[in-house]
Amino acid sequence: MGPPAFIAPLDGQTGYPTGLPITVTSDRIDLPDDYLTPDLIRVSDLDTGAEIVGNLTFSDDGVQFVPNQDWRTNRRYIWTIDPPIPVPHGPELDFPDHLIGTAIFDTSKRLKLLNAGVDAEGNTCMVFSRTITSDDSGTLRVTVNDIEVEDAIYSILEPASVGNQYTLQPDDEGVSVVCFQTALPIDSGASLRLWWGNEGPWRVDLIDATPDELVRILRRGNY
Amino acid sequence: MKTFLLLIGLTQSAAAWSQSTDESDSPWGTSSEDTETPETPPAEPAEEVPEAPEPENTGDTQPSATPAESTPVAAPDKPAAKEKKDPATLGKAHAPGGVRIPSYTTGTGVSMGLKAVLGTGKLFSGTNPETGERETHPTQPVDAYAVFMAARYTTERFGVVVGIPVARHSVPGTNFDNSRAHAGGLGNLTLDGYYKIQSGKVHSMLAVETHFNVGNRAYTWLNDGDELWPGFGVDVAWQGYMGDKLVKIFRVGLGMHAARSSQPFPGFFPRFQASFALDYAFTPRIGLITEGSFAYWDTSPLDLSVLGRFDLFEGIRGRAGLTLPIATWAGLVPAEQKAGLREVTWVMDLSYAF
Repeated sequence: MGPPAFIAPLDGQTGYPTGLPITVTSDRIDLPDDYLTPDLIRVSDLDTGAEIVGNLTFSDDGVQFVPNQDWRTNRRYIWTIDPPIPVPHGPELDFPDHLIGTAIFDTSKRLKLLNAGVDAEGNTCMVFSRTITSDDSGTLRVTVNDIEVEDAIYSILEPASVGNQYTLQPDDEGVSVVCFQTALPIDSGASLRLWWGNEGPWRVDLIDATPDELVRILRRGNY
Repeated sequence: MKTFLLLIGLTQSAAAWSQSTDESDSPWGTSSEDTETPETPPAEPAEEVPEAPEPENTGDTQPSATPAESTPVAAPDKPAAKEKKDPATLGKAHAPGGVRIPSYTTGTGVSMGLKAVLGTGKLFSGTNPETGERETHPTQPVDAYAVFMAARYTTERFGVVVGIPVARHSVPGTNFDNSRAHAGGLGNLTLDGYYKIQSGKVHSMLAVETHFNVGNRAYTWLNDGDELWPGFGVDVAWQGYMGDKLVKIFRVGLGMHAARSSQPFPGFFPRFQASFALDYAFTPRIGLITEGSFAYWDTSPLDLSVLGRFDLFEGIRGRAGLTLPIATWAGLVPAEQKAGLREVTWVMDLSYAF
């Protein structure tokens, strides 16, 4: 499986620092650093539709997209990893398939529910789009299949304890995972709705996954 | 090792064969070493013959092998001697060679050539970022060619050749439909030196060949993996030729190479090369060259080449033909390439010897 391979920011992440580049970490990216690879990473401002101009920098650890100007505050960006198809008598351009695709990130502090699942021990865990702080006040309300969850005990997993194989860049706080257990078991496939104070509702279908697996999906990671 | 022994055997048998032929018919001319050890005994000194008048300058600088066998006055005007002028002159200007076997002993001069891969390339697959589906592109036209320029300086025993290729090739397009763009770049600068060895009738030489990238890289290749893809390395080669109307040419080489590591090129690799070629002279000016070459590590380990050559004027030789990448057709190449008859390489060059 090799060293961890993943994307940063995580798909759907909010509160991403305006001065950080987009990073695709993998030691299996095989592109000559001075080979023309247009559109390997394309970035657009979702609010204006404008394409973001920047530079790709390659290293042994992967590739980064550095915008010519810092990300704007309170903006949402969409970005796509689209490795070029090799040409005859040219480099093979190996690129891990699991990293390919489109993702969104946001520089605002908006809170969103990104993913949720149930593990084998009966824990129901939810991945939020940024770290939860003491500023996030309000009542947490959850329904499963439209039935109110009233007997749950919630716990917040620290970012360092979830998906910690994916090393974050300095200033990137990552995301928070909140888990709870109920007296009655919750099955995967159930519909979960969540409100947090004035935020929400968000709805997701629960999947079979541990907290690490939930983060891995959003990171497009290999672990 | 078998290839090497076979080449040695061919060399020895061909040398024995060539000794039984009339050297004066050689389309490659008579070297100074040949004239120093004439097979026929020297004629008696022409002490009693009156001194011959100075012949007119006919432009034929080739010394006569038997200057005293006939009457000195009549010798310059013999029709037979004039017929031998063109082969000798042309041969001294251009030594035999192939595609993988350089014509090292060709006289001081310059050359320019073109190699272009014709045909369609490998099977491709990629992920459509919009659908997330893997898609296959059956074939694409190969679009890679290079112009080679070289200059030579040769003396009786030594020679130096410096060359640089300029490549143009396709690069991935800007959309998933793979509308392709093109890029140009410099291949690897070559700097070769050789020392000529005369052993019997075998004209052989030891060569030290270097190549290194000088920037503005070209990430492509034609057949020889050292020409264009950024890298550097050094080879030691022994090559030579023997024969007259049918000239046998051989080459073996061994070297250590480094290349910009990206599939299909490894970062560091040794390279063994063995080639054998035949040059058949239909006339002193026109000939046919066939060459077989094996090299490992290489992007095209086994090639066959067929070239026609034509000496347009004294000192100017043109060649054109095809290189057939046998190993590529068989799918026995480091690149992701399915077996199939898809591509050939067009080869042409023009050489001028001063």
